[in-house]
Amino acid sequence: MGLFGAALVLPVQAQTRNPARAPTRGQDREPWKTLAVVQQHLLPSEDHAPGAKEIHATSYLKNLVSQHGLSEEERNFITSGPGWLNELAMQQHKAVFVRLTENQQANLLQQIAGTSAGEDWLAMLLTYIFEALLSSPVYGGNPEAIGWKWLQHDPGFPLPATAGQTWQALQKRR
Amino acid sequence: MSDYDICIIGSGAGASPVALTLAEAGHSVVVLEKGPWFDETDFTKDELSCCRRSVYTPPLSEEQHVIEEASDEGWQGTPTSESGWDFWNGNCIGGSSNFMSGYFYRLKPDDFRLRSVYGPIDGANVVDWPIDYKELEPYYTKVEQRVGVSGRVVKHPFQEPRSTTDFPYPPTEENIVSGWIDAACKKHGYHPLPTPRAILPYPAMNRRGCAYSGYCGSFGCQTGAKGGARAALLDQAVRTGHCKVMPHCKVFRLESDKKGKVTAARYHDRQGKEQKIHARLFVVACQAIETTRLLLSSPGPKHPDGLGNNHGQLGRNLIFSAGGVGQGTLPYEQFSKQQAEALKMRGPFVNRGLQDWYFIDDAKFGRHKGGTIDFLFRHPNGIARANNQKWDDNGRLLWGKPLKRKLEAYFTEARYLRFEVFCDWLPTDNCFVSLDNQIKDKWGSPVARVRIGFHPHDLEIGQYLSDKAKTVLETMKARDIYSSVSGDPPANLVAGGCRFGHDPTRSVLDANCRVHDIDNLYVTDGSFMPTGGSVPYTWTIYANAFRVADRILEHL
Ligand SMILES: Cc1cc2nc3c(=O)[nH]c(=O)nc-3n(C[C@H](O)[C@H](O)[C@H](O)COP(=O)(O)OP(=O)(O)OC[C@H]3O[C@@H](n4cnc5c(N)ncnc54)[C@H](O)[C@@H]3O)c2cc1C
Ligand code: SF4
Repeated sequence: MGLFGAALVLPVQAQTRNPARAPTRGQDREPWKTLAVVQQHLLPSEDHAPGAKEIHATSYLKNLVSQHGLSEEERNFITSGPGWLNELAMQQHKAVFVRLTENQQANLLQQIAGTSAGEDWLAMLLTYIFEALLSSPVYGGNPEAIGWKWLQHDPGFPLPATAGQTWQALQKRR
Repeated sequence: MSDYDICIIGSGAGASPVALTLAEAGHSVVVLEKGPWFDETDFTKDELSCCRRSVYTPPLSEEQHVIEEASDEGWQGTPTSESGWDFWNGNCIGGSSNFMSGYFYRLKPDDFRLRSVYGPIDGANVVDWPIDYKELEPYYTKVEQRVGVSGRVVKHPFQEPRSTTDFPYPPTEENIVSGWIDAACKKHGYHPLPTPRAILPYPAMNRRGCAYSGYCGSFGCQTGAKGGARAALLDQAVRTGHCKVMPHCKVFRLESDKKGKVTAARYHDRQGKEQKIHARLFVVACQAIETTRLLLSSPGPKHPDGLGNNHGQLGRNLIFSAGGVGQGTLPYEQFSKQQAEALKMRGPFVNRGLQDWYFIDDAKFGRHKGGTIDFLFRHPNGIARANNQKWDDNGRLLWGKPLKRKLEAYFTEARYLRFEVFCDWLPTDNCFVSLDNQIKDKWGSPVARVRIGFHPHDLEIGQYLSDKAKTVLETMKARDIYSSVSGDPPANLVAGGCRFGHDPTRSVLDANCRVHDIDNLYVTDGSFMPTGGSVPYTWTIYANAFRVADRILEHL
């Protein structure tokens, strides 16, 4: 199996009946709506290179949070970020973050990056964006190896191919 | 009444040679391992399983260590559940040897008599070993054959004596960069060595050959080519029909009688229920820190302070591998298209080491025990590499398009050649294992408290070797060369705590790795080592465990 062999591997959530729709489910609700916009700032889409949307970064993170893949502390930290961001947006622009122009949003992100908690929050979101970008498609990100192709990354072999080979399944056997 | 002839606690590199030798001799053996049983079918190149979630190690919230570091206010202990600094290395059948890279080096004769050859060092507890190289040599050879070590003997100023002319397996495939390293070394008059690897280049001994998956260290092996303890030895031991391997058995205490003899191992099974196994003889090989912890947690009528601790030696002189790391960038644009394509090849290994300064005799720097330099590519894990790119040169977070351009350049324009330096971690009074008096694991047993002080001499040697390694990268015209030498211990390369020796008041084990005043208790992981040599330990751990297994056979 070569570099793109992984494209044959079905994502875990593809077990839902309509895999194409899976990535957007529930993302129209908070905190996911705001998180999705922030993620898109962190990794914007370009013609030649995927962004957060293309790598399914939001559904990846949502899965991780809902499947208890993170510590409670991390979960709370990630999901409470949009609350602070909206407070700041309301203070400065009298509108929630997702209603602002792209420039206003970018400006607010620069502002929060100037605080250590804000920077930690963005850094953590980036970590999970990289997971969605470069982990095996079996976890729901990196669809059709789009992240590996972009960065010409050879992921090695064999890749996890069955639900039993995922970290969640192996962890249960500990 | 004994359930088994031998009960072995732990199932890794120190345990498996004993299990195999005794099972092959027809003795009934039971192996108790705290972790689960994974095999080739479970191991994939999944960065999340391998390195980003604790899958092969326990959650730190349930089982942890307390690490004591020097601070202005003295020694400060921090639980690893707070720091995230994980001291577990692989807890499953086969132990951490499942996940090793398999760089295999023997010690050299002078490693066995460091104190006699180099004299004392202030603040360090350097001693000679109670055995010499000659006694271990046949067992190094046995490991080459039974675990499977591939390599090629080349002429070298510090080549250790061998009883066979060459390795039983030829070296694994190499990347084009290995030839470039050779050329650079030769310009300096250095003697590059093909690094011996515990990897089968082709199928043998019921195992498949290496598939050159490109992801070896930190990953379990999907072919069995890597000479981890389970694939190479324990599977064979089970096939004899005399060895029972029991996963999910966490031994928390060894019971001993009035005469000091060990009678039973008490353990928690997967359901958390307490169980007990009796045997004629017990072998502990839980990896250095946990071995000391178990013995300290096992007081008995004749050993009120823990088994083997009547002279307060247990847990002392813990050692790690000292040294440092460095890196240089090899931009593809520096090479022809063909060379660049060959350089990009993920599977073949670098396999180059330098031992020209294993013993240093330098007009300016003096005469010292030195160490080993190994060259390797930067670990290929994509998520970790991407994550490192998210900070700019001023330490500020980077995102958006600037981050994407940086990622593209990092991933697609160069390959990164690293070196690792291995030198002796001098044993001192500031590096030891005790029991924490507050923090307990999920079963209620005190966790190990580890003080990790180092000797400043280690840094000087590490720096000397790093500077030499950098000359090779410079000659190769690598860019952005850097190195870092620190006293932080690599948690995966650990030994000592139960040093062996002739004097029962200054050591825990005798020359055969039997606890001095306990007739039926042996320790066969790296805990026995009074000094570590300037190489990773596993070949020596395997060899010594085979040696001790022969002594146990005589004993039974
Ligand atoms: C990523 C990585 C890379 C490495 N690379 C190299 C290398 O290139 N070269 C080299 O020489 N070495 C390397 N090593 C080190 C090598 O793995 C160890 O030296 C070797 O495995 C140590 O053997 P051991 O028997 O002491 O411990 P292990 O092999 O870890 O076995 C100990 C076992 O005991 C079990 N155990 C612990 N406590 C208990 C208990 N109370 N009850 C029951 N079971 C228990 C553990 O779960 C574990 O399975 C590497 C290690 C890692 C993690
Ligand atoms: S197949 Fe080869 S490269 Fe892959 S893990 Fe096994 S020994 Fe290492």
